[in-house]
Amino acid sequence: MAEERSSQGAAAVDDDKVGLAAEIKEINWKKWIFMFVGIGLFSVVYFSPPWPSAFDPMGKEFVLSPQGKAALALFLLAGTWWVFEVLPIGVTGITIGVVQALFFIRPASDAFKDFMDPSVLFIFGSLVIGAVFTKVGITKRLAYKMLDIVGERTSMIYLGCFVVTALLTHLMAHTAVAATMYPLLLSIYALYGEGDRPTKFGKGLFMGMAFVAGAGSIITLLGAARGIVALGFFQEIVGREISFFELTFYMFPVGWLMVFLLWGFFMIFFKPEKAVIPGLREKARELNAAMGPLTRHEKLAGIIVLGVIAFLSLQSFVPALQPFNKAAILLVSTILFFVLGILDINDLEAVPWNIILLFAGAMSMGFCLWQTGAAEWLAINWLGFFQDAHWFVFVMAMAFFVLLMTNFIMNVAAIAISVPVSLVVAPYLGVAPEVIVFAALVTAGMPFLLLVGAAPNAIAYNSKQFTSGEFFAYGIPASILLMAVVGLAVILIWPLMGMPITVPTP
Amino acid sequence: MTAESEGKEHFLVKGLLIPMKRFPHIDEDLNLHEAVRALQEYTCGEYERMRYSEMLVVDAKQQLVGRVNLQSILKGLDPNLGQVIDGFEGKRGEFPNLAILWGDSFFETCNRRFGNNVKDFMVPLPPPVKEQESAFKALSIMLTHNETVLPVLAEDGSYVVGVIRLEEIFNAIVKRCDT
Repeated sequence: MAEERSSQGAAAVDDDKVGLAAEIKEINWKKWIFMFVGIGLFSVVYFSPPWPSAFDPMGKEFVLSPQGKAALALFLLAGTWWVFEVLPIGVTGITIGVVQALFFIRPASDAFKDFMDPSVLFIFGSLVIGAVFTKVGITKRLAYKMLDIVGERTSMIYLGCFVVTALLTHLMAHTAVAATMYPLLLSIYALYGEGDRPTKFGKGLFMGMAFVAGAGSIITLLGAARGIVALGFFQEIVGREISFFELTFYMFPVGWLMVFLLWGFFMIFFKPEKAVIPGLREKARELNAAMGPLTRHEKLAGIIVLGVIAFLSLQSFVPALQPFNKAAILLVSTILFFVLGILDINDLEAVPWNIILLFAGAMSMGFCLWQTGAAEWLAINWLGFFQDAHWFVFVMAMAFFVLLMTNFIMNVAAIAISVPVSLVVAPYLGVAPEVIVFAALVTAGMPFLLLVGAAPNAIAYNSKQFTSGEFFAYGIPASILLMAVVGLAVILIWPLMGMPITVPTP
Repeated sequence: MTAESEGKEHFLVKGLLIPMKRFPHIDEDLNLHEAVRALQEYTCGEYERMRYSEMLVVDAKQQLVGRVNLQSILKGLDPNLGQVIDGFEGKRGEFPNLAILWGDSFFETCNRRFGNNVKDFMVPLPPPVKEQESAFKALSIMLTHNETVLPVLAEDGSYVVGVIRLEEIFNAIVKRCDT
């Protein structure tokens, strides 16, 4: 017979009079205020009288058409909504298409076609690769193996974690990498013996992971969506294509230089209090043993992804492979994952539409600015600031502008506004378009100042090891370091590698 | 016919519910140590095993504001357990093997958190049912939301009369199907 006793902790609760607390529904004032700020900015620009034309140095007139002005209005609306997350970022993406169609900025077929542009489908394919790696556990295996290799010295643990994070971003989106590394870093930190109290080692480990995820993500087109988006604009505006290999070829030295410089940076600013974490190696071995041998799915996933990367890279060397579209090749991996049973319908349903629609909207926004002539008009107006400046100053200013923007709004949005405009300005100053795109992509990938700049920043912040103020404070020297690396790349590294830097001015 | 037997006959919630006074419910100002003690007060069987695996939490205005269960308490004791990361683009990973690394530090961490307020470990309530409603509705909600306990409201919805558990519904169904 069951025995029952009453709760001692029911502290003065009258059992007959317990109500059900009403759900607290607070009005989100911030959301509504900035929603209307966005709409207000759009209205002011959209309904304003025609704006004056811009004239280039040769006296050629660039008229801002009503559609061009409306495109600028739409960018202000989308930018405001993105910065303050008035709506889920993907819904703001949809809004970009809807406004273009309803306000006759571009025909609906053009505005919405961009939503399934090959670049967007490429992003979809790369997100699926991230999902596969997460599901089969191959990335975890790499990360755990790293612990065994680096041993117990904290300086080496920094380096090992940074290198593995950067390596993984070559194959999958940096957000997925951060989400994979985060639990591992938490576990390493648990062994550090300070509980969850913030320490220099904790700050360095988590902030470093976020910074390095950005640095690594610039190296291949799989590391982040911004790369393929920028190349999409490049192809539309310049009429040439930058291949998968070409991007990696130029970004590899810059990205890895940044990874190792960041390691030095964190060793200086956040030198770990303890030199070693005793017992870590033994546990790492146990962890690796628990993983067991490579599974069939791990092998298949690895072969498929490496096969796709090899094919995309070979396009630069084998002329017969060049006609094949990047997105179509990448999506072959998606199809194979399902054919071989590595993924199922539930995995397809789990695709993050919020993210896909964000990129789709950014793509549509960028093409809208370009096709309506708004990007050209803006560019010619900005040209005045740089007319007498050295081309290097222009490239660095543009890179710095992207660096600031990428901290405030999604980096694809920063790319969507800055790349089309910069590509128009570039020929007037004798700058090759490649250097513009690559410099913009380097800084777009590394928002070191604000947590909202990139998902890895927010993931690292979950550790409660650092405040947003600390992140900003240490982000300043890190951003200065980044600008120095961009300068070095533009002046020295890229020219040595054969990238065209300057072209004859018109 | 009493309300309880009528409820049993028609398979209504009121025939199967556990009244508030017999189900653990605690003040929101308690700390976890006191809350766990209160939960352990409810025992059953020869080994004095825990009778319930969750408790309701009531605020100073006598309003039901949430609940704590074994999972929410254990998750709250160490953030490494069942880490959920917001903003991850895509599939959520699972990391059970990492227990090898943080297993040792768990007891150190949990000691410190045991004094925290019970609100730190609270999770939202599942959808409530009314006492005159069919127990099948309660069962449907449980199976859909993967829940085992639902709050039960009086017919006019003005106050909470108790809870209905999956165990009682299960026993009632088995009793009828097995005749």
